[in-house]
Amino acid sequence: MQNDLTSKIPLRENMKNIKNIFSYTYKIDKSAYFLPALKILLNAIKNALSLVLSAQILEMIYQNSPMEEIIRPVILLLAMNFLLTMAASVLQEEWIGPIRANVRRTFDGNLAAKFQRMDYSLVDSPYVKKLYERIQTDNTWGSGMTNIFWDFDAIMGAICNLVCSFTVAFPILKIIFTSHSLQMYLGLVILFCVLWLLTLAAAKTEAIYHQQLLNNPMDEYPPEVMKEYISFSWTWIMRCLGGEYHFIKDIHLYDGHDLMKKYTSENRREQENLTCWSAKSGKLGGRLGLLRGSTDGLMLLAGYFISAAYALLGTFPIGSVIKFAGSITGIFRSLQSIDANYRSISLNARKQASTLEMLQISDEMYKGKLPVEKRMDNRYEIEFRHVSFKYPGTNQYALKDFSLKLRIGERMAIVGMNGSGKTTMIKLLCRLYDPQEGQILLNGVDIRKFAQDEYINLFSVVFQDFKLLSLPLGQNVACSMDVDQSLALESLRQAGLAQRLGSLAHGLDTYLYQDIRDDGVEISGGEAQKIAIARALYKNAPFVLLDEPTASLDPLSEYEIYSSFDSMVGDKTAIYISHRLSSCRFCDDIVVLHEGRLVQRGSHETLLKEEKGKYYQLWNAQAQYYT
Amino acid sequence: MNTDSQPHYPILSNIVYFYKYAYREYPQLALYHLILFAGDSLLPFFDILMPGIVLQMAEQGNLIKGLGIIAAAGLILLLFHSIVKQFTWKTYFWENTLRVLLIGDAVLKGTKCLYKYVEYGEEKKISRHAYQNMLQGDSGFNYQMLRLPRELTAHLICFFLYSTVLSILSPWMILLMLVLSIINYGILRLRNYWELSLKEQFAQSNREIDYLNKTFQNTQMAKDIRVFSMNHWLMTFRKSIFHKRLQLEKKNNRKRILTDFMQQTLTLLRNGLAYGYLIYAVLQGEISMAGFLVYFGAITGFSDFVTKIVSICSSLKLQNVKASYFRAHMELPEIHTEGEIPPDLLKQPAEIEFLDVSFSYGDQKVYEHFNLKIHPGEKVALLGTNGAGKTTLVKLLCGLYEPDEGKILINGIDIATLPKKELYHLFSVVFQESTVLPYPVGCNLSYRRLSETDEDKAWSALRQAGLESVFREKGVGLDTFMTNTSFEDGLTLSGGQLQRFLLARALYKNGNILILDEPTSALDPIAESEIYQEYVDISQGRTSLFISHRLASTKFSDRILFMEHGKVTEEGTHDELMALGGSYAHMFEVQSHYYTQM
Repeated sequence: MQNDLTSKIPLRENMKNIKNIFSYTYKIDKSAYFLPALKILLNAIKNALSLVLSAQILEMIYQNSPMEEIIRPVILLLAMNFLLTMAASVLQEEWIGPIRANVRRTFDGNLAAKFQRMDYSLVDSPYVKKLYERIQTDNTWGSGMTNIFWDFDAIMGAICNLVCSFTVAFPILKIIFTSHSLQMYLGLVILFCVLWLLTLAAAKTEAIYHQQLLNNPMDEYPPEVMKEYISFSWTWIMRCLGGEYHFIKDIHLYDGHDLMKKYTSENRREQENLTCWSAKSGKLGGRLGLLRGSTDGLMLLAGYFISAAYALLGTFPIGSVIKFAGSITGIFRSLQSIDANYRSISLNARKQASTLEMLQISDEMYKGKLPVEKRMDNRYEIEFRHVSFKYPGTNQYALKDFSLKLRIGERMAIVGMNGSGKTTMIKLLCRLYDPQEGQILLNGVDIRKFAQDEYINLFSVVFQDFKLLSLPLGQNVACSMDVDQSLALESLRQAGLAQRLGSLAHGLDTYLYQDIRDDGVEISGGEAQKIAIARALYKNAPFVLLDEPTASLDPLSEYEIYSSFDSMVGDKTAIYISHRLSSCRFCDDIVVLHEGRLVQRGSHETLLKEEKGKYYQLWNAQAQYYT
Repeated sequence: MNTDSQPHYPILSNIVYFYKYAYREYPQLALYHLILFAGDSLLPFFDILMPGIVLQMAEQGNLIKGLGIIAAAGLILLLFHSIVKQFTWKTYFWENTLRVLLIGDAVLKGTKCLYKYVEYGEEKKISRHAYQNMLQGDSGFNYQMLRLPRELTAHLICFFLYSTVLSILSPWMILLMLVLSIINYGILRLRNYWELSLKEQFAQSNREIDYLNKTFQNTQMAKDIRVFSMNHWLMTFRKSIFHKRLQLEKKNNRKRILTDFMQQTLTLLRNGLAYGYLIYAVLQGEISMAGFLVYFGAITGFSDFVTKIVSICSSLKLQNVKASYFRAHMELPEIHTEGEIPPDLLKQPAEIEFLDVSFSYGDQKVYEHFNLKIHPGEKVALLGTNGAGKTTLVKLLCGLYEPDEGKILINGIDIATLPKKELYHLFSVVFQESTVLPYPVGCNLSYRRLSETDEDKAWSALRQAGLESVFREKGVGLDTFMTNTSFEDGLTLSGGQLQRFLLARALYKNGNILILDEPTSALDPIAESEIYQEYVDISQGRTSLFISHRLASTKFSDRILFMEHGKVTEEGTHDELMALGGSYAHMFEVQSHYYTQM
């Protein structure tokens, strides 16, 4: 990945970048390019007509034509202007605007959705994280699809204008090129060279300017200096905007305002003193403006000067002087614009390369195709066979040589200290990751061979850090827009939410939280947990996995859930993870993990007899307070 | 602050406010603005003058003189273009730098005003609006409040220049132009009115789209989305909100087409009249051909400026509403830092008393006439069901919230009379949800700059919290950055270590009153048990409050308060409450039931 925007890239790569961004968006909606092209053509025709007709009017006035005759081109000019402007307006407002906004939304939306449409193991991987950071920097200071569209329009516009201006200016061009005047040729060549150099300089400055904006001003300094002057403004701002305020409470109580000031505005100022980043960037911006301004001015000047010179020499009637001036400037402008916008689109396409790379990440896990046998009796057997697993980018085994057979229809508890591999086991079971060694088998077949969307249907999981969405309650339970009302209500009732549900004015259609609706209801941590449990029940999968589902519940709610869980789970196989070892008492089978290995397995009574075992130690740490 | 949720400041006063802000931070902007006022107003004028000059020269037929004058005029034009563009870019850059600076200042302000504004009440809405409106890049008010007045000024100057030119031609022309402009103004008002009528719907649509994208990007959603195959659901939802948005945009744009039609008709009328009148004037010999060109340019330009002035005014009005939120946020009352401290306040151990305290969040009453006394040096355990108001009690005591009625006394002193800073100083609190800042370890412990952090005190706090050896082993120093927000090698802590670290922070502060709000819910039994032990050690000689779901904590306490719905329903020692056989005993039974049936 090339990060320096000022560095040269080969033409082929450049064209590839441009092609990629166009073909991706072209696939979303072709008309986002065709319709604007049509509108641009209409505009160019309008401009050319204006030039020609106004010249004709001037000419007629010079010739002292009668009012009735002059009025004809005037009416034509006004009518054409009106019609073409209206046509462009209709094209723009009815189609181009909404269509392009939709393409932009889809493009941005696809990038966001990509996070959930790639392998889970990739989501947290350093590669994706780095790439995403890159995308963020590539899209700051005005970039993204909007710019690509602008560049496209500018180039199309320039091409149309070039053709129109050339047509209008043809008579004078013919005069110039048949004049055999050496001075004229030389003058034109010099003019073109100057314009080209100015455009080149502007393009180069623009690349440096954009690179400057992307640079972290502290990057050039040694880490000690960087750490001293680092500024976290952005982190806080995003947190505050996200509605997080817990840290503000700590800042108040621990009197941390001065510290915040240092790492926010004060360090920003210090950084500026040290690096002069803003001062440099401002100057660069100014230089870029200067170059563009002088290019514009020069083109105007050249158009007027050339056509006035020929008019004064008497080569054409005076009435045409403005028309020729306009069209000559038009030719210069179009050529300059094609050049400048080609550079601009190259830069923008290059910045979009990271986004496209992300959008086109392909999955790395083997995708099996085997269908999962549907069994009404839920007799699915799962076995871990010598499974070892390390998280990507770490060196430590999260699970080591782990073997375990789940007993059908039984309740199993997994206990162990923080970091002993309990949650990892669940993640492997759901095939969020594949183990590096060993196999996980479903009815004797390696789970990698099954189609993942069918395999995952076997599991209902309530994770410790489960999430609900700010969408209607019923949809949250069903995980779909189509909600089986009675099943959803029954699941919520079973999870112990019957009472709360009765108090909701819109029942299952009530929005949770207030992210997208002001009338959404705020729910407590305990209620959220119950909804998550209802979601797991609604899914009605043969395996129910609960990863510490009751941590934020008070003891009474916990009791309520635990005591009714047996009936909720029915003939399904259930696996519990909990820090409250009391939940183990429900289970026929307890598995103790320690540092990624299975160290003990058995019933509560047998495990408690092994006084040197981990289980005994864990149990007593809690039970001592109750006996 | 009044309760009116929409703050309002006059436009002019806000413009002055933002310009002052800008010139204070970046004085060079004042110069840039002056240059742009002159440049932006003169440049279009030169642009319409230029064709006139060219035509005039061509008519006169003097080759050398003609070309000389055209070249001179052209060069001035070139110079103007260069200067204006240069300063436009510079101004854009610095105005946008200020835009970002304003965001930082707003967040800093948020840490200085009363905490209750952050969490509930009308003021929370003000701050939320202020923050949200700032994040819209250069279409946000934090840039537009500088841009719009600047452009308005330049356009107004242009307007007067053009009026002068036209009044030379004919005062009637000006009158006619003004009438047409007023009609145009009416059309623009209509357009604004239509756009505003859909504003709410657009805002709702943005809210839905932003939320969905944020949800997709949230890596914490990744497990649930995959296990429950939610992608289909979310993509169906996306399709429906995108479709709704497209229809909304079309609906909005169709009205634009209608106003475009009206405006174009007006332009047709204007240009027709202008051509008719000017051609007539030329034929009558009243004006020259060059004059014809310049006047025609002035007529079209004149109405363009009126259009722009009107549209800037209406955007300014919209931006002013948003800017007012920002200003209201920046002018929220700050906490008092100065004031006298009665010597009794610092008496150790402290006595706490709630006298007839009532408190509500909006309509929701949490406490009504609540009374409670905690004796000096007492260790109190606070228990209760979810939502019984335990955390609210802590926040009231620390002064983060303020009671609606009644008093809270510490050592007999009403805390409402104390400067907040001194009040906060009394407490060492560990909350359920706490954040480690991406700052060095030392700063996180002391909440001071590293240079103001006492090294010995910091290490001793870490030692007491049981983290010293872990840190030393890892080679962590007080200057090691925490979290991997900015440095990949930043120190990250496991759940248990985090709780210990927060405990160390409370220890470093060494407040007279110790409060722990559910610090152990994410810990495994062994770590939990160790934290309890440490708690006993450090609470010696201090008044302390301990909130937990796990009833085991009560074993360490002198007194247990059992709370339900904002009231203390039972109190006493563990044994007393067990003997009472009330809610506490029931709760304990439920929990211990598993452990005791050995």
